[in-house]
Amino acid sequence: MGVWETAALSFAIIFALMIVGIPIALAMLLVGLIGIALTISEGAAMGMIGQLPINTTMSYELSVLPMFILMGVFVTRARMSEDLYRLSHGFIGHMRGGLAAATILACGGFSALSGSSIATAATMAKVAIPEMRRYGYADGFAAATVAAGGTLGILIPPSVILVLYGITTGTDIGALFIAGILPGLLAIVLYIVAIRITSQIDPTCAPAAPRADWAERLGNLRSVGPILMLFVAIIGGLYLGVITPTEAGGVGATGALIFAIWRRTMSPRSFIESLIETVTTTASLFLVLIGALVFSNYMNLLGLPVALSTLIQDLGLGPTAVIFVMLMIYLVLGMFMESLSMILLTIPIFFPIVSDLGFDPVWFGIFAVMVTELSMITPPVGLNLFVITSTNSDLPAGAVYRGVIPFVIADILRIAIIIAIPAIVTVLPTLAQ
Amino acid sequence: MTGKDTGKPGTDPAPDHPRKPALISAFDSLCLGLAWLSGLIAACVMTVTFVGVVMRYVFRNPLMGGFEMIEIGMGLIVFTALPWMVRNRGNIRVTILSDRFPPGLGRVADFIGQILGAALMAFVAWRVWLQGDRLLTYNEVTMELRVPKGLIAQGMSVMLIITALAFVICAFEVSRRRRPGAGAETGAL
Repeated sequence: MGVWETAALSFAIIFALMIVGIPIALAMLLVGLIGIALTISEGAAMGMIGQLPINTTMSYELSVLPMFILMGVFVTRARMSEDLYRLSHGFIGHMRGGLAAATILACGGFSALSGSSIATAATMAKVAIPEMRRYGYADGFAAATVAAGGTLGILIPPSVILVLYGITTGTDIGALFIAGILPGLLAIVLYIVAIRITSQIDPTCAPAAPRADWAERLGNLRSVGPILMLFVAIIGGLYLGVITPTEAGGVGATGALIFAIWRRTMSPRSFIESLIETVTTTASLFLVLIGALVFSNYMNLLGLPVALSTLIQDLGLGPTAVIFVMLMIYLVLGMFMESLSMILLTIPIFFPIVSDLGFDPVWFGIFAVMVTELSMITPPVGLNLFVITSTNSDLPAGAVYRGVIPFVIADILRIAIIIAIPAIVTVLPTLAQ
Repeated sequence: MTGKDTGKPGTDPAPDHPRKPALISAFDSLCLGLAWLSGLIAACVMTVTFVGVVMRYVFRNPLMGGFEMIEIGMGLIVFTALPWMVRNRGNIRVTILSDRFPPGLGRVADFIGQILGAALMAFVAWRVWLQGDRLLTYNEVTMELRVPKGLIAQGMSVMLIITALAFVICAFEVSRRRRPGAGAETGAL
């Protein structure tokens, strides 16, 4: 069999295993190991799997993961979501569509402390959906707003997926985090514009709430202020290059712990539960990472990236056309996969190609995260939609799918903007150097 | 969509299932104990990282060996948490189709997944142990703290064996389950 047939067969087996419910990590590990043993040599497979788990885990860089996961868990347990929501609600809730816009802002704030899209959606859903329903928002629109806001979790730093992308491609994690800031702000702006337009078209779906007075607004600011300052400190430290991403995580987690103790939301029991939640999540991500690295090595040894680069040259495809083809592949994959598996399965193949074509690895990381984010709110898989409809079982799925359309349009527009103006992604990391 | 596996240790989803055997309970306690240890190491890594930054910028005196403590700590965090993650059915899976399987087929697929996990973990444990042997032969130690790398590797290998056993127990539970588990929980990301 040639490179193409072998690669196609390997992907087919991985997809088949995944679809029948075999854990993603095991599917990639199995196909990667057998593939290397059959196409290269048994010795290569055996040698690699002896070293890889040791070298991958005993890594200073990888410790970014548990530190930021821990920070997110502490912040969630400190019930920050309620305060963030109350704060943005106080400032803009009285406008038409204001509560939805406040939800997006609160999601943005929560994303700045949590690296997970689902955690953001699940946490904010508990706070924002009942409030929006109370003021007469359409159910589908309210749920869709939280689902879309949740996707900010993996774009606005810290981001678990950006860490994994950084580790698998050797891209600077600090630069990736800094690069996520402007696209994250752009996402917030475009989502709010989408909300405004939707509420203009159908005023009944997003009525205004009563105006809050200044005493209430400033009171909310006092409780949220310290934790937002923590975000500014860690991202500022990364930007100025005075701390490494791991140190930023360690400082962030310690700060979040102090904050949770100050708010009297952290008992010894909940501290231990937070630690166990963090390490089990880290272990499951690590297993996926090992599987992805073995599979990635297999694809490289097989020569698929080289074969694809040659094909692209032979076809005479330009860089933009290649990115467009990748976008299409992601959109198709996004119909049945979620972001982590999409990123880890495609990066070994796409990354060498985009590097050859001269794309900035940081830009491509943000692009890939954005495209996979879109998959989190598009049916049929749309993991964030699933999370929200499963936590609010009385929400009709059809209405949620309709409600998400304005946000999908905003996402597509944002992807088009960063393709047209890559500087939105690259300017901050360049300035930080 | 992705989700974690179904079921949790100690909360068997099948009500007509007999009580959990004492051996499995003891094994679960071991896994939980290791997860506590992992959590403790995570707290230490957090503290070392924080203290390192404070020492460097406030006292102008970097923490000796801090970098290595974090590296070794990271390896230990992951491997000591793996058995509990497996027992807690924390593996990330694509569940879009498998959730719609008829109960019998779902159980077969789940069983195969667990056995595959056990076999792969045992295989990786064996290779990591041999790598540890090699590192011990070359007397390889970490740069600052002089910890033998081979011992760390073999410690990891032991944890992988316990992880393989955790998969075997999950497979055993799947085979004895008369009804499929409750709906999948959502994944980690």
